[in-house]
Amino acid sequence: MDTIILVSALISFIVFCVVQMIVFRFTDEDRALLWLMKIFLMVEGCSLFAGYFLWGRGAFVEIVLWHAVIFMLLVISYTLTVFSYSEASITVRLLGEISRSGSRGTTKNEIIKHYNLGSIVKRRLSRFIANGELVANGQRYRWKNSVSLFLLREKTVRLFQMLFPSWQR
Amino acid sequence: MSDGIIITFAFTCSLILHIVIHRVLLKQGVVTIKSVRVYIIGLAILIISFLNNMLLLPLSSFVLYGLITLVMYAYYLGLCHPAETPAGMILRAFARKKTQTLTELTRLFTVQGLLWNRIDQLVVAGLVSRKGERFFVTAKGGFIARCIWVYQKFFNRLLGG
Repeated sequence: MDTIILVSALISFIVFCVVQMIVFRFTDEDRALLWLMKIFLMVEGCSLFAGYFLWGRGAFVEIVLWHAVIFMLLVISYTLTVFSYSEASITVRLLGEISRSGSRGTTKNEIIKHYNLGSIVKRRLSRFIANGELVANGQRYRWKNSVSLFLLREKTVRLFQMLFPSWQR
Repeated sequence: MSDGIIITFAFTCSLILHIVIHRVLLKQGVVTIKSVRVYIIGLAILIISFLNNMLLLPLSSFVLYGLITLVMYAYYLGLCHPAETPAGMILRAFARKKTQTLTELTRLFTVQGLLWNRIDQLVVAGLVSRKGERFFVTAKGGFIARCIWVYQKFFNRLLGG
């Protein structure tokens, strides 16, 4: 049973990556996080369905429970490490900008021409809008009192900051 | 179910110890990512449980503990290298005032804090080198940038940031 749980969680994760690769070719870039959640739920649902027929009712609950937890942690680890750094890290983007300049190198003025405060803020705002957390009205932006993925992440970070205080705050 | 209890116990012990170590080190003015090594204690608890035949699903238990520790590491890494996170600052601005303009939001940030400090971090990390006013990617930085580019290309995420 041990191997079945691990292999099935790994297969689910590979399927998750493949589906992500396909879905991201046809969807709005700003809704990436929402799509990741949808893909996770879809793959988890399919795994439940397949598991019920493969293992029957006997071991179903235990296998599914373990599978769900391991698969969820795989997706969270992937999102927190690989995906979020590639998607939203300013440092990674700057490294890419400098790397693209090749042996000629680049200056701060050249970087700021196409990557600056305005573009960084606009990118975040369009993500919030696409996820339905923010409403744009001309030049004004209004926060909606909705359950927010970003707020959830912020609250987790706050909890960590409470447990692990820092002298820099 | 007993495996779940053992994993929870192992992780909770390590987490409490980590919090204590972090706070003790903080009083001495040190915050280091190396403090996550304390999670080896949880691993030791799992190994002892395994050797005493207490784990029904040993492989899954070790993987589960490893993944929980990895998530913990990802969050702790963010706390050890605090920087202006734009999304977080924008959210805090909206928590203070429900309606904001683009100008108000852009004013929350400085080019120094958001961009130049990060380039300095890249230089310190040896991923970028500086000659006068120009910045060049090092071999190590180039390798990382290429790996990220391949990932972004595969997943159609073209430009991050």
